[in-house]
Amino acid sequence: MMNSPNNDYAKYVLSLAGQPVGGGSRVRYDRDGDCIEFFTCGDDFRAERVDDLVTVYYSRDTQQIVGSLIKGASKFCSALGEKMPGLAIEIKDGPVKLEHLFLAGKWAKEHNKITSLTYEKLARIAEESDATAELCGT
Amino acid sequence: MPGFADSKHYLTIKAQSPNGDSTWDVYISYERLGFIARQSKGAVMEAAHIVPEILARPSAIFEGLRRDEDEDKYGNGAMCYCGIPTVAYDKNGSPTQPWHDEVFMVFLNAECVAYNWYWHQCDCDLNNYPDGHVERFRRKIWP
Repeated sequence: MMNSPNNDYAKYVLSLAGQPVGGGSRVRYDRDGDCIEFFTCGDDFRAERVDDLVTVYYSRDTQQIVGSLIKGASKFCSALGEKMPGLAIEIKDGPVKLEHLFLAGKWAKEHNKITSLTYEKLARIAEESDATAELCGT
Repeated sequence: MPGFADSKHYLTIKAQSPNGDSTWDVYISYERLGFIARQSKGAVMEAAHIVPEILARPSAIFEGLRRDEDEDKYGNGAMCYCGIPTVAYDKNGSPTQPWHDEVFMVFLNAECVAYNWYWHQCDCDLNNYPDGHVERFRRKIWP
């Protein structure tokens, strides 16, 4: 009997289950989605869309922020680079600090107080985690 | 298959096509799956079972992420499959009831690569649609 693609897929994914999990913050730039995903721990989470740029992940256990998704990351960095050439150099020359992206997101446009506070929290968490991402292709 | 890559980089899943009467191929990168696997056993179970379930039997498929920054770099073809799966998984990978008042969303770029997925608050009237779907997406393409 031939395996269906979905069976092959599930089999492969389940084979990954034995890997060590959690263990501090992790960041990944996804070229397919042009987005940066950031986790501070391995908690189960629900996503909450903050605005066009950011979706926040809240722990189901603690209700605290345990990660985030920065959408249109390279586009956002390019736009920032046009406004702030210094930042463009920093991004081009190496990994970008997520803390800077969150602060830039906060100041990029007018937000309500809750959204501004969320950006500040994200920036603080990113700073504490020393979270950076390599933006390929920017 | 995504033009810039090959089967060395992507796994294939059969998904419901947007017209609802056939299937088509959706791709997920090994790299993303490796990243997800380090999150938790629940994340692995979610990727293994819930993602294919939603892609095969979505409640709705939306096209075009409305805001500029939401769109991926390939343009307007981006899609979101959403629905309520038969089970959810806790972080230890144990099955549980689907999360109350939440819907599972899977995001695809224009080359049919599923690049992100998560649980999100559902719409208060249509509990198998995501909250804010009217403002967030250009149009619903299925059903």
